[in-house]
Amino acid sequence: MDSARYQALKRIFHNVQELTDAGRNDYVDRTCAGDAELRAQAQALLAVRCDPGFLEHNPLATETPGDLGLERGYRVLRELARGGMGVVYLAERDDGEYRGQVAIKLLTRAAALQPAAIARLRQERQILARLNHPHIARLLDGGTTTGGMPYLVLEYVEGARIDDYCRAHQPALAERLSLFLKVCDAVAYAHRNLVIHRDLKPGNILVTPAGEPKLLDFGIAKILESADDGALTQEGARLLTPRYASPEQIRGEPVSTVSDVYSLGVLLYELLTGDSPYAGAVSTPNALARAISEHEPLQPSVAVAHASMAGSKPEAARRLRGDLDAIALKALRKAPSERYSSAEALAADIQRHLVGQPVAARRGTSIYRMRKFILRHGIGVATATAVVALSVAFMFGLSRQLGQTRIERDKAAQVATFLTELFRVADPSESRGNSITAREILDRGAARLSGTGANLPVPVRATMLELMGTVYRHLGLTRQSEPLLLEALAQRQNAPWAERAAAAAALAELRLDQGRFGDAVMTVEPLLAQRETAGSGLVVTSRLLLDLGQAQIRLGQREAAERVLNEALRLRQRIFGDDSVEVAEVLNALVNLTRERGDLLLTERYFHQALAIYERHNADPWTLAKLRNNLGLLLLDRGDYAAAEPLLERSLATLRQVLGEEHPAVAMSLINLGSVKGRRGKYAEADPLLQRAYALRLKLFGADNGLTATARANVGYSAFSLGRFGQAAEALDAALAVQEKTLGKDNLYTLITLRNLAALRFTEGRLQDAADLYRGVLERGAKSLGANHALLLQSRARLGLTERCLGRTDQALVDLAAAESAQRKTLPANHPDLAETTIERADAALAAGDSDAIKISCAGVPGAHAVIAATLPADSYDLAYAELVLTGCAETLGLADATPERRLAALTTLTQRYGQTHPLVVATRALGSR
Amino acid sequence: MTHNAANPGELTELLAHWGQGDAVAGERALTMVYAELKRMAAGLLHGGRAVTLQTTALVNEALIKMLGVDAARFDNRAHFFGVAARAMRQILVDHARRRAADKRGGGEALVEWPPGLDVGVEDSVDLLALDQALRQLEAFDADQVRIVELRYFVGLSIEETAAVLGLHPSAVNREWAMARAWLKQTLTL
Repeated sequence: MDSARYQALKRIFHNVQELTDAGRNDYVDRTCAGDAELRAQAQALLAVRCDPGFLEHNPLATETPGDLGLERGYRVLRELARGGMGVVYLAERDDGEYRGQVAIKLLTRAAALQPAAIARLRQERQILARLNHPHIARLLDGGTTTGGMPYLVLEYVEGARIDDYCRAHQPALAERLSLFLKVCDAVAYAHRNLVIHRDLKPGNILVTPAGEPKLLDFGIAKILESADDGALTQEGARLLTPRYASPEQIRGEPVSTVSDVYSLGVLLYELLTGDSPYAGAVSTPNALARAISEHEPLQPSVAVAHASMAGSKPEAARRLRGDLDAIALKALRKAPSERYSSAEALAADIQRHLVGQPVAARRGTSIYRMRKFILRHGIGVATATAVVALSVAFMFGLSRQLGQTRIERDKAAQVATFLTELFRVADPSESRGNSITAREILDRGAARLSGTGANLPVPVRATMLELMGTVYRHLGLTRQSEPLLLEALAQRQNAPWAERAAAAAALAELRLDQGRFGDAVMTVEPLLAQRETAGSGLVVTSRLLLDLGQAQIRLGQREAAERVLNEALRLRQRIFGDDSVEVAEVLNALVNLTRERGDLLLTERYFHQALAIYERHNADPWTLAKLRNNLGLLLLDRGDYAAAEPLLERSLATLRQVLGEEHPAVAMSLINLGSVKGRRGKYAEADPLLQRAYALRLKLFGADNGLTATARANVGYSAFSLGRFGQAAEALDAALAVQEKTLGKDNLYTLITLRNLAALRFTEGRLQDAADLYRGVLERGAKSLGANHALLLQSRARLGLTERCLGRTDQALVDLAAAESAQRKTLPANHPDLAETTIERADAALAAGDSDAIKISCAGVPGAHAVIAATLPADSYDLAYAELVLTGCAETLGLADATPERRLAALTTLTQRYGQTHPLVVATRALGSR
Repeated sequence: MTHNAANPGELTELLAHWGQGDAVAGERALTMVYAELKRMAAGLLHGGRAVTLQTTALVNEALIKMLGVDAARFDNRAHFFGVAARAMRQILVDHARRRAADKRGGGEALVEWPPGLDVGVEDSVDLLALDQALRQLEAFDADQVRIVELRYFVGLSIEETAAVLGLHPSAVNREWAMARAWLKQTLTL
């Protein structure tokens, strides 16, 4: 755009003012013939619709305080504060009855035009009328202006915002806490009076010169008991102060008193550290929203320690470490159920800390300790810095290890020099402090190795190749990693066994990440065949064994894997001691093994052994995310989806934060989270996660890969859940072919796809195909998984369901009874799989009309119905089905009043979702008409 | 709060406080000058009789204090208003900038969530963005910028603006319509 162009636009703009829309288009087309850009600009400008008020109200021409139209005699002195909705004036009452200054709150002119804003001010008056507390600014009066607008007269609080006050007076920690406790007391009082504040922030808490805090502004507060303010509350829920809002507020979910606890947590954090828990993320709305719902705040003590590197007092961090870290982070948990249950509970914990009693935030069971542990090591540093810290520590750790073992001192020194060089910035103007990323260092290193580094002595160069290839792998850059690790191994051809073996292990670990499990086995097996059993050879041997075992697990060779991993475990226990992270690493692999075997008890035992070790050592964020992921999967296996979901959410958030978006571990984590969401019936939330995982793996590993195929199968299952059957069939078929080829025909993941394909066929009404597929799962899995694997028991139950729909109710009852009895022995009593079987069995019994079977199987139905209702949303297929069976049982046994409405509602849900031809709809209708 | 009795001494004092960082004093001074400008504009429109020498002097003084330039030498009223309007713009934009800085990163105001909802109220005009857009417009069409300054920053009506600039009201209306549309477009991009 330039002046001439603008003038041309102006001519058009002026000339079309009198024309109709059609005339305008004509005119613009004619005038701009041959100048498409001008035409587009003219059309865009003519399409602009200004709101009537746009630029019409001078920013100063707000209500002049002199003529507010208050009923009684208040003399307005000056404006105190102004927000989007309200404006507060300082005023004096001049009728002699009440002496002193007051604050008067009115709506801004813009807000006065909005009925919702008027209703909110009325509600604020109603709320304040019930609150009388020394730390809440009191309502003195209220009324209606001559213009008909409501206004409030409030106690005038002369003071500073609580954060400004703390900055200016620098009160000691104990004083800060006592100030905060008074705020908690005010909030708890409001809660007892059924009021949620919803906008707790420093700007709404003033501290008087006497040092007393006062809570103000209940402008978007909510009364808990009132059911009739739905619209207002809903509307109010969309107003918030992002920096202090809770995750549920940001997501637009229901807000409770625990949301205020979260905001108090943000306030506490700021009072303790002087900085927001979201640090730099507060500067942009999107980053902030994401930080609120995903990022773990840094522990307050760590945040302070970071700040103190820039010059403040180091002992400040020490006083926060432990109790106060735990308290602030417990108030800031993402899941409302994990926070303090009330402002009182938060205050009580701070008081415990002040008198030296153990605090509740640090107390608990082993799973709770795990969570606490994770929080204690929460990471909140910027991605780049975290990755640098991680990879630098790794590189130096490894080079030290190598220095201790084989490479002679001078070679170790050469490696160190090389590494140091990578951090040197040639041009000082490039320097960005410590913000250089690991990626830059690596790229620089890789370039140097092929350039000047080509002259390095072979062992040094090989070491560097191996190091950098491994760090690339840690960063998820498998493509960059591969050539370096291959070259490292080639360069080690004539090196001693331990060095060759280490290079092979590094490559095998890449193969594991890439999902090339067979290649991983082939890389390590030759070296294990010639293993050396003396000295440092044992360390490398244990690493090769661990890599081999992990590959075997994924290939479904569980017996071999168990042997190999137990050997690695014994070896490492001997070399490093029972209480070492090296041993914990093997235990983690054993967790994966026993989990795939479906052995819940042993899985939990290994998990807790590993956890106990990590608790005693400093685990890095990566390991923590892995532990959190494993715990999430454990809970998933136990059927506790609600508890698993937040853990998997956090694991994903951490991995994304530390590793970035494009990392194999992120893909794994996306799938796990997508799966748990799917099991909770949150299909729409699960779908983008699973799609993303598939796209990522496709990019990282290509289409002809077992991991990619598994991700694709998940996308297919998600499409099925969303009712897109065509897409589902295509994805599942394609995935199955690749899985059979790369993972094997009886691999667990292959069988899961087969089961999902069966579910699709069932829903499409292809019952015979579904039954065949379920039988296929059972036959193939019998040997590879063991007869009592959860997948097989579920498939057997579903085979029973399919038979029932085929009219073979006797066979159905046999399969369902067998499945249910095995599930009762192997699964927790409230596992959704078991509930599903119980429902299906009762349904088959009803269909068979076998009164004994009905009596036995219907007994468990109410409990099973409750489990499903707690797991899935109200409109889900499984719940509607459970509802049908529950009512069917009740009617048949004459246990309850007839419930035709419930039955009809459930049937409608099923029909709406799946149509008239869904096998269950057909079968259930048949049952109903009998 | 009315300013009919305002005297230059009070304004001088307010400006001095403002200079020392008292934001409230700055706002009051601004309110005062604004009221004077409005009255002068009304007078201008109705024959110029109501504009007393004293109020002119008052605003003059304000401008000298605020602008620190040779603001006293005015060839005519239009020029005077032009400078005054720009002064208002400058002051309001500075004020907005300070407020933005006060928010320590801007995260503390109560906002509609999720962001991006079109609330469509006048309070939503972002003065800093508007100022930026006006700088752009200045290069294309300085006259339109003068009109926006008088209309928005001083709050003159179409007729008053026309009188100040010596234009026909319908011409002001046309330019105003286009400037508004262009600014709206630029601010929503």
